[in-house]
Amino acid sequence: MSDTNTPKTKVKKESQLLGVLRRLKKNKLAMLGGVILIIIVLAAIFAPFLTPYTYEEMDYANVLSGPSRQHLCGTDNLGRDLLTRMLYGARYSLALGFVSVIFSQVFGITIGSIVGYYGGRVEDVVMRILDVIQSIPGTLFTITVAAVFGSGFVNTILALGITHIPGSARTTRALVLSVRKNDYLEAAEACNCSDIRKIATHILPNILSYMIVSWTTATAYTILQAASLSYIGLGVQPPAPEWGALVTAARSYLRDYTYLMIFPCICIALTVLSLNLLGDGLRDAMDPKMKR
Amino acid sequence: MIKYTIKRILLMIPVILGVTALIFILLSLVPGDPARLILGNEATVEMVAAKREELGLNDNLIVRLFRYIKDVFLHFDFGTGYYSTTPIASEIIERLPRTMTIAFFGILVTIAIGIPLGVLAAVHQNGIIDRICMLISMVGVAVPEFCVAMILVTIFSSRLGLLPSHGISSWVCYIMPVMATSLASVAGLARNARNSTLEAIRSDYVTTARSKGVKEWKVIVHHVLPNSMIPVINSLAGTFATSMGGTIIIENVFSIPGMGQYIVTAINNRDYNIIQGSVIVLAIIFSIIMLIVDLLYAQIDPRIKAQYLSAGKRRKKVQ
Amino acid sequence: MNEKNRGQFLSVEDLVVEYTSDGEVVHAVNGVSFHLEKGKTIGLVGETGAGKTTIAKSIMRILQEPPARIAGGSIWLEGTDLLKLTNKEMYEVRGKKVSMIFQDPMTSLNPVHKVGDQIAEVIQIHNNISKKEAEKRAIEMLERVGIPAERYIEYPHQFSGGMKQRVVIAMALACNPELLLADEPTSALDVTIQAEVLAMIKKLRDEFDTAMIMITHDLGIVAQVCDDVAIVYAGEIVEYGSKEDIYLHRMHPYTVGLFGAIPQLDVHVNRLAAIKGLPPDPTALPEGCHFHPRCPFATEECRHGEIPNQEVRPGHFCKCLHPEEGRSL
Repeated sequence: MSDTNTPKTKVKKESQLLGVLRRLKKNKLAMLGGVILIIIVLAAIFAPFLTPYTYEEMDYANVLSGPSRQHLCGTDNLGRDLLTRMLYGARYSLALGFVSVIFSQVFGITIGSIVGYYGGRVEDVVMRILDVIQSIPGTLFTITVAAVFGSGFVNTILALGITHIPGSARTTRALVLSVRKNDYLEAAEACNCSDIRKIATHILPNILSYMIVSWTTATAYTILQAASLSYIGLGVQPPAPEWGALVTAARSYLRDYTYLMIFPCICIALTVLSLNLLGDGLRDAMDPKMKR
Repeated sequence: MIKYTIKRILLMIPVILGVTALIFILLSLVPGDPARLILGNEATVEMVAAKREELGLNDNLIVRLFRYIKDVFLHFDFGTGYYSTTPIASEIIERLPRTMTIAFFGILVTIAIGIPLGVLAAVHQNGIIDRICMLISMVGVAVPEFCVAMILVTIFSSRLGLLPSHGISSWVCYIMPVMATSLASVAGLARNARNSTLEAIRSDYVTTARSKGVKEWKVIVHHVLPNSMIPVINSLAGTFATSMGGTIIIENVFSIPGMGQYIVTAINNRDYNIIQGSVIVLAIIFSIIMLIVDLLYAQIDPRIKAQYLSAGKRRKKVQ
Repeated sequence: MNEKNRGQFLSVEDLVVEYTSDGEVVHAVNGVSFHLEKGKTIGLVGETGAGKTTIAKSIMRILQEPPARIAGGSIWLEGTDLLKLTNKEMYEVRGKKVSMIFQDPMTSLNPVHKVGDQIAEVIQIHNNISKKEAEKRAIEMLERVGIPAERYIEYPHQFSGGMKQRVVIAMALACNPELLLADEPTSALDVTIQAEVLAMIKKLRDEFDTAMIMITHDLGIVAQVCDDVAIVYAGEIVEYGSKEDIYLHRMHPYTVGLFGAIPQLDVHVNRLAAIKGLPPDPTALPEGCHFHPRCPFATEECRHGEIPNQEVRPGHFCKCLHPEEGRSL
């Protein structure tokens, strides 16, 4: 092969994931989402270094004071610094989102790939159960499961995690089924690969990119749901500064201290928005055809 | 068609029974003794034991489940709440219409705004309309419904004093709840409609239509929309679920005595009987809506329609 | 080219088409010129991605713009430049004067409309007749492509690939167009069906006396239906002439390579000669002759500058600095 063709070969050799990242880098909105998300994650991790207050510290001299130099986002009815509470709250909201999605994906992917790969009677039974769960509106199911577990951080993670297992299993199964039809699996079959090896090295890597997209959107959705649960008295409850709980606490002060509600709302919206932007960008990057 | 409809209705029965069983078993996992909950901490062990006997809690789970199913589906009897003597069924009958009103008008607004918005955005892809639509829908899905509801209350009730902030005294009270439930679903539906319309616009049969000399607006109306609306209609069930879920939460912002408020109050009182009954009723309604959407879907997609119309007289493909 | 060619039935001159994707410019068609007489057939032959389909879609003006852009050139059909027509005037051309058969019959029919109605649609657009009348003529067209009239009310999913392509052919010919663009009309079909469909296209083309551009990578098809042949490589016509010129006196090394890739029964070879290397990256075409990296006869001068289009024999053009007959790769 001659020299002039080398760039072409380089592109060919580029792995699927690298190609996706390369295209992702060109998508300004997705990069914006990524940057916002990284900032929020860093803010959550380094919260103690970013603020002179602690999230429970009450300043009775400054109760319900609006945004000022001293308290950039104002203080609540107990004189606690709202910005500090939001920074610490990011820990709760992000952890709720990420951990429960990981939880649901671990179980969902296992169930979905086994069911999708083997099929048969087990598949029938599992799919019927998933059908049943699917005929309950999502929010309602989450509320029910959360009611069973009760409120609290760990309980909420469990509740949110469990409610998303069916969806994850369903998605994984559909993806596995679509991959299973492909020829390279028959090729693997011909090479006498073991089932676990086939699933782990041939099926999962091929559907990974699609699943990453569904993780980002699932995380966004979970953060929204966690906030809603806090509002109806489930989920994470005060004094924990979870964002949904912060909004809920502001409901008695809507008229005169709107900022108490607006700032945490913005936190939730920004996080969810950045996750969705990133997810959309990833999807476009994986399917460049769609972008045209 | 009728045969298919009947078949689908019959197929719904096991799903509904499954939902009932699932919810029943889930809620029976709750730690704690309902008899103790009802009687309070002061009650003696004997009193609790007597109450347990009265409630039939000593039977095993399966027996209780079948009894519950029998009561619900044969007598429409969900029992009563732990702390009240009003039958749950009559509470539900009173509250359900309010919830359904919000959810129904919510979805109506969603369809009326979401689909045209999405189609418009797709037709003018990358234009100004497209960008504005997508921005609105990105933000729309990013804010939880109760936040939207609270923002609406702040603006229209607290600041402007235009709309009542709570209650159900007149139809005006429903305006904000409907707005709040539809925002998130408008955003979702618009994105959906945009994506499927874009996909249809790029498909080969649209190129074929253009190559026939069909005018551009007719290409959109006659060739793109019938195809792009198929997945959108299919997603309407999901949209309705979002709308219904949103309503359940939002009712609490506006103090509307509907199913949502009933459920949330029950959760805070740990009255699992009420949660059970309410969730089952809402799930049944949702199943019925899914059925309607499915039938609609089959009606417009000839590929699906053919599947059951020609079930008996399937002809071989002729080469 | 010159004024003389504008009097031709169809004359494509210096057509340049680009695609923009992710900020990169893909040079799909780079100055293509050819002409076609009424009732004749020209074959555009080349590898996948050489720009053949883009040429056809440019004539129809049905490229997705953006990302595509016709950056230059003109397309004269009976004395009018199609590229200068308004959209409204173009509606009159598409389907009536020029129509197209697409590559993949599986996707080129609208799944939610009855096949008959899809044929009737084009008839009704271009003829001032009632819906009933259009339906009647659609049935006639169906029967002409060998589909029984009662299948009018069926949907595309009830048809096999070959049958669908017949419907597409019926649709393309329904308004008796003067020019038919056939974009690899048989390559998505089973081999057994290919011959049938090709025969049908050929038969109807003769009956309707339609000029045709046959896009293909199959030299066998070219031999059956074409009068003239244009060999397309990297968005350029590298060799252009009558069928005899190309089959018997081929000169461009790429053309030679294409023929080397066809098995012949009467010659014993151990291995079919394939053209070495890959088609060039259209975002970064090689300088000079675009084929030089793959060409065994390339010399230093091939790597730089514009390669002239030489008339090697009367009517036989070759874009090569070293045209020579009778060699092999």
